[in-house]
Amino acid sequence: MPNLFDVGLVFTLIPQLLKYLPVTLELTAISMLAGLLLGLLLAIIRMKRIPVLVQLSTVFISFTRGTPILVQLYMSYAGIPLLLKYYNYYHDTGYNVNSIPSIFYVLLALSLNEAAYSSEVIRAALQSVDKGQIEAAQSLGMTYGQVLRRIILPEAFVVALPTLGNALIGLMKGTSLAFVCSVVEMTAQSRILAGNNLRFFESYCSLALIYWGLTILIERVIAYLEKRLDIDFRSMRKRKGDVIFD
Amino acid sequence: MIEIRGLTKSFQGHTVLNGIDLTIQQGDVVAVIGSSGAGKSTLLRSINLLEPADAGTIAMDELMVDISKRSRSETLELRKSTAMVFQQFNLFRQKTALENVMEGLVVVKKMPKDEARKIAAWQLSRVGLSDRVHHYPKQLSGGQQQRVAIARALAMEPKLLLFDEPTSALDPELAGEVLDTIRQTAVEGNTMLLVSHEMDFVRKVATRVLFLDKGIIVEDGTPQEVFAHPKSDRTKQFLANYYRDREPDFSI
Repeated sequence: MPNLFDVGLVFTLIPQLLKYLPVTLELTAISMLAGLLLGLLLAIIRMKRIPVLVQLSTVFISFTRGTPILVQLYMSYAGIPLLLKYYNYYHDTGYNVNSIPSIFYVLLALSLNEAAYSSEVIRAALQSVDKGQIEAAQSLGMTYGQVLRRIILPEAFVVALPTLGNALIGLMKGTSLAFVCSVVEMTAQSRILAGNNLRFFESYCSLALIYWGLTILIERVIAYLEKRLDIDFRSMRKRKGDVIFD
Repeated sequence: MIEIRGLTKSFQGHTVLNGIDLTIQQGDVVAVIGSSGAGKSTLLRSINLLEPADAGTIAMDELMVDISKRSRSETLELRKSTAMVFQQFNLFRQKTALENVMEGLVVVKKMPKDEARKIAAWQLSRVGLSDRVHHYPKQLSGGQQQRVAIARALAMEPKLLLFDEPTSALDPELAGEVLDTIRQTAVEGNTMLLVSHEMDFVRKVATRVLFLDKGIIVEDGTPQEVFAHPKSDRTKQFLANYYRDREPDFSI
C-alpha cells in the first residue's frame, strides 16, 4: 500500500498554517467592523430616505449582492491602481501604486461586500424597535442621535446578533479568497506549503480543520453573548449585585 | 403657567384640533374627556411635539414656541419641560426599572450616575416599587410597568405632566393601583393634563375638566360644573351614557 495520504502530516502542518492566522483574523475583524459601520450608515440613509444618497445606496447594494465576491476582489485589485494613476495624471501628483499594501484591496472589497449585506440586516433590526420606546425617549427630550445610541441600537443589536454572527462566519471564510490580491493568509500559505512537498490534500485538510475550529469558536462566542444579553439572565445578575451593562 | 393658543391640526383634510386655546395654571389637574377621535390624544401629543400641530403657539413660563416656526432646540426645550405617560407604558425594554428612570436624568439632564441612581431609587420607592428596581419591563405586570413610567416622568421634574389614557391597557385591578399613584401625584401639587375614560376618577381627582368634541373645547369647568350641570347638548349626550350605567334598574 503506497503512502498516498499522510495523516501525521495533516497535524504537523497545522502550526505552520497557524502562523498566518493573524492575517486571517485581521482581515475578518477590520472588514467586519468597517462593514458594520458602513452598513449602519446605509441602513439609516435608506430608512430616512435621504435624496440622492438613497438611490446611490440602492444601486450599490444591488450591485454588490449581484456580483461574486471573487469578482469584487479582482475589480478592487485591478481598479484602485487605475484610479490612482488617473488621480496622479490630473493632479500632477506622484503617488506610487506599489506603495499601497495589497491587503488594502482585500479589506476594501470585503468591507464593502459586508456593508451591503449587513445594511439589510441592520435596517430590519432598527425597524423592529417599536415606535413607543422611541417616542418615550423623544418625550424625555433626547436628540435623534441620543435616541439612536441609547435606545434603538441596544435593542436592535439583540435582534440582529444571531444574523450578524452568521455574517461574521461567512466573512471569516471569505478571507480565504484574499490570495487573488496576492495577500498571503492561511489558504495561500496552504498552497505554498503543498507546492513544496506536493502533499496538497493533507495541506487542505489541515486548512479545513482550522477554519472549522474557528467557526465553532465564533459560534460559541455568539451563543455566550446571546446568553449574556438575555433579559432574565441580566436581571438575575443585577439582583445578585454584579452590575453589568450599567 | 402654560398657555396654548390657536392649536390647529388636520390629518388629510380632517380637522383634529380646531384652534384650541387653553391656559393651565400651576398645580392644575386638568382632565380631558370626550369620545374617541375627538382629538384628546392629539392635543396631548401636540404639546410635546410628538405630533406637531400645523399652527399655534405654546408658552411655558418664559419659553414661547411658535409651532410652525419651531427650531430643533425649541422642540427639545419643550419636551424637557414636559413628561408623558403613555397608554402602552413604552418602557425601555433593554433597561431595568431603575435604568428606565435614570435614563432621562443621565442623558438629557447630564446628571452624574450616582446622583441619578439615588433619585431614581427614591422615585421608584414613591410608586411602591422599591423591590422591583432591577426588574426588566417584561418581568413586571402592566400596572407595575405603568408605575415605573410614572416614576420616569416624575424624575424629570417637568412643568407639565401629560397622561395619555394611562389605564386603558390595564384590567380594573391593575388600573386601580395606577390610579392611586396618579392621585398621589396630583395631591402633591404637580401640574397635570390627563386624558382618561375613568369618569369616576376624573371627577374625584381633577380640578378642572375639559370636554373635547371634534377638535374644539366645548365644555370647560370644575368637575362639579361639567358633570352635574353641563352646558352643551353634546356634553349632556356624552355623559348620558356615563350616567345610564349608574342609575338603578328601577325606582319606586
